[in-house]
Amino acid sequence: MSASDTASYLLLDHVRKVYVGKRRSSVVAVDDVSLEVRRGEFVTLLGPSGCGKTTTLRMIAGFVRPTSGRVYMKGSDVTDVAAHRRDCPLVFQDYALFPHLTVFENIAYGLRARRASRQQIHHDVAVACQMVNLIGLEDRHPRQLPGGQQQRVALARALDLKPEIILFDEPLSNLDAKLRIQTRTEIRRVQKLLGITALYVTHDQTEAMSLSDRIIIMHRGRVIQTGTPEEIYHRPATPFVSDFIGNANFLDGEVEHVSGTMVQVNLGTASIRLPADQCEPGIEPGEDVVIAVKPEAVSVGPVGDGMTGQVDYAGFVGPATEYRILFGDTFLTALQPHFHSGVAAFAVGDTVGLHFQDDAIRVYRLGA
Amino acid sequence: MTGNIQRTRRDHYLDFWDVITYVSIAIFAILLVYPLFRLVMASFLTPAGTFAATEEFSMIQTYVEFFTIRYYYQTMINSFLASILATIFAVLIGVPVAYLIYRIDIPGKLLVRVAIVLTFVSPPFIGAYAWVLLLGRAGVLTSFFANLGITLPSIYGWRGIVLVFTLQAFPFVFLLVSSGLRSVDQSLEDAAINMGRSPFGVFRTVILPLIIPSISTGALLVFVTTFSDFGTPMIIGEGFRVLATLVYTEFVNEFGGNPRVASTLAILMLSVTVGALLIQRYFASRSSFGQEAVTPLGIRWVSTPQRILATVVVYGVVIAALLPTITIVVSSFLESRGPLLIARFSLEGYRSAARLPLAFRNSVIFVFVSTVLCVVVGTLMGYIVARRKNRLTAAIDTLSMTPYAVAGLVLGVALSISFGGAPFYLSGTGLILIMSFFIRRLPYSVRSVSGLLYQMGPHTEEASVNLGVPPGRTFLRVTLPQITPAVLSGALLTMATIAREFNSTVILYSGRTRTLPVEVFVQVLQGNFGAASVVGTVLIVLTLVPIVVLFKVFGKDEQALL
Ligand SMILES: Nc1ncnc2c1ncn2[C@@H]1O[C@H](COP(=O)(O)OP(=O)(O)OP(=O)(O)O)[C@@H](O)[C@H]1O
Ligand SMILES: [Mg+2]
Repeated sequence: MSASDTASYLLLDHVRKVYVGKRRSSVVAVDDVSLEVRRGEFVTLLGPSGCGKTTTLRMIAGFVRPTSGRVYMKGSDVTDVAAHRRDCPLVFQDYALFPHLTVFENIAYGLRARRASRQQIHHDVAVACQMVNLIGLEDRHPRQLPGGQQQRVALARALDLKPEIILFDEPLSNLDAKLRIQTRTEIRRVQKLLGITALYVTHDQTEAMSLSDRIIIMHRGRVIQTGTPEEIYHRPATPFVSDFIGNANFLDGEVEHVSGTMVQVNLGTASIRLPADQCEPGIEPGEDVVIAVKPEAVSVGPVGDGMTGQVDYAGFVGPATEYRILFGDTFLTALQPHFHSGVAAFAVGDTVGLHFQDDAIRVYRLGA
Repeated sequence: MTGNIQRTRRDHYLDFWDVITYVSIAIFAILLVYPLFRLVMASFLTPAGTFAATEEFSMIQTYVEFFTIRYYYQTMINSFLASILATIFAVLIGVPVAYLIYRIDIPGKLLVRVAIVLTFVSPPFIGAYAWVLLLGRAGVLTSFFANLGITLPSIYGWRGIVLVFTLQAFPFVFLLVSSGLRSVDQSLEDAAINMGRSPFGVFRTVILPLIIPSISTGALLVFVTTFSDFGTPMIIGEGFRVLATLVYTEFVNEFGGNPRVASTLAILMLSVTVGALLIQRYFASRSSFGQEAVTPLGIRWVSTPQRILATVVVYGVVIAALLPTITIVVSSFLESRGPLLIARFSLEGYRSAARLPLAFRNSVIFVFVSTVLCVVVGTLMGYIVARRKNRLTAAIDTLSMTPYAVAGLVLGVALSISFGGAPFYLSGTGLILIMSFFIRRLPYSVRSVSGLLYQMGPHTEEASVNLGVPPGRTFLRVTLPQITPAVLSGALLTMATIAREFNSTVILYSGRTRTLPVEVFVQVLQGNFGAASVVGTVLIVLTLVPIVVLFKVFGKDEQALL
């Protein structure tokens, strides 16, 4: 990666952050992260709690100084630039609205810091309020607003600076499920409308999928995989990603043979054949592997000539039935939509036939 | 009928808490409302001791005199001058020191905090007396610099009073601002920086507005305590007379006779402090945002020169504030002849302190008895205020606001008028002193217990009742164990504050019931500086013991003092 790449708006170059705590204990919060966000792109940092997402974001905003590595914005090195000179508004998880200021003054706060004129401030705040639908609430104090509106004030405050980039740190995690979906659509709409570059942090995979042009998966301070939502979903690079994006089933197996474009894997009770591009490259016969299958790719039907299992639990989860099935000596989870399977429901204790959607299986080396 | 009998039995506990409610109301009525009522009445007496207005003397004559005779009204002006200046300086010192200690990595923070606490718990006039030892006519620093041909500014007069008031009272602002800063969330500062504010801009536009309620409460406490402090102006005021000194001298003059002038002055003083309280409440309620910090403000990283500067500022203030205490302890180990101290180590002061044992014993007994009373009664009252809401308990809650506004001096005069003479004749007894300590500190116990119970919420108690344990036993088994640590640490604080109590004691004591602070005062007025230092040192140790236990055993910090 090069810093002078004009298309790249934001660039992290081998950034590392080590927190040194009491008695010299240290935590590696971010470990050798390099990433790039192109102009106008919506990129999400996705990972479980504690994986270093917030730390990464705070290094970009300038609140945390990297232990090593550089941060570039628009091609220039900003690693040593003070946080208040960075021009990259951050939407905080708890909104961080100023409780002593009205909605208007909260939104105007950044402009006042830049000594904008009165007219300018009034005009821009009105535009921002219009944009996120806050008209009429300008004189309220933040605590008088419900969470969803507070969230929009935080967004308007950031938009009011007419930024080229906005950073989001789990901005929707304090909202209820319905509002979360509504607001994320709103964020995406505004971002596209204004052509703003966005870096968004979340641990919610559906949120990441629905918002992003690209997703960066982080785990234990490292970047594990980068790709479009489709790539991440269909071609998870490691068992961790596979599990994180939709709770995969994992089965132990052994590679029986590799022939050209196909690979045969023995699962103990059954054997399956699948295309080599669904396996980790360079896999060889005799190797121990783990295969990952998403619950929605396991179909349950009457006993046929394929694999079989026994229903251990069946539960209604709204749009689908969730089965737990004893398969060999492990359990599999299967998610069966009600409307398309055309099969009757099965009861606990039934023996059923199992089929894995071939193109949904991934094969990894053991210990990857 | 059976139903009725069962009902009576089952609801038996109701009666207990009702009794507590009535007793509580009675306590406030007898020890606070009645004395204040008597005080008001006394201020309307005519010189003849009646309420009958004559041609040359109307009932408000004393008030008219106050505002027309310069000798009187000048004291009011002087009091305002000294207290307002002290309040301004205390804010100017207290806010930056609190902020620097909170945000910057200053070495020896614990030491600094302990020093500020020490200043806070030492008796009100001790600073004045110690400054006389340092900067008085024969003061150590005065003589030292005189030998070098330098004349230091005099400690006497209004400048000295403002200096002593400021150094003595800025810990109020310090403590309140420190606690106010705890409720400011780090993310607010981050957001402000992220929006492009410089560090100072953040302080001005975000942090300062959010701690305004704390600052104003601190300022109120500074104003009220200094406005009613008469020890300091008496010792170093010389020609500069304030309202509080006038209350004291008039009371002593009128003692046993017609207390109309002292009462009138006390009422005027009460009006000022109550007025200040109301103004502050109004102001604070408008600027309070009830925020709570999830992640409190952290230490700010600053450059080494800035850090050194911050350290110098903080230590400068702390040393100035601590100087009086050090002076007293050191001088107690010096040889003395009357007001002259000789720079030679000696334990003679302690050996010959004939009047010390009685004062010490009195202080210990009074402190102990009043603390036990405050804790027991305060806990019960705190409970009914928080858990048994009705009109009466709401009244108790309101009454427990009074200590912020009723100064010790005013309460002392009121109690003396009410119970000193017929038919009670409590004048000079230990009982009247304990009454004053009890009523002065009780409200703090009530508020700390009720505050804690609000914070705890009623769920554990409800769970206990729900499991079949009646409310009375629930209180003993569930409520009490949960609040015991806080009650005990509150008791330690009560001990320290009663030990240093002076303004009301000096009105109510007699030879037999002298306490340590009174003894120091008497010795200072008689010019026995050596003896004063000895007693003062014992007093400082006595107030420090509960504080040390509080910090060490309960792991509290200075926030507990609020
Ligand atoms: N100021 C700090 N001092 C020490 N350790 C820290 C600090 N901030 C974060 N950490 C640690 O660094 C790691 C990464 O934290 P970070 O907040 O970046 O994670 P995250 O991905 O944002 O998690 P979450 O989803 O919980 O917000 C965690 O183990 C955390 O405990
Ligand atoms: Mg986080």
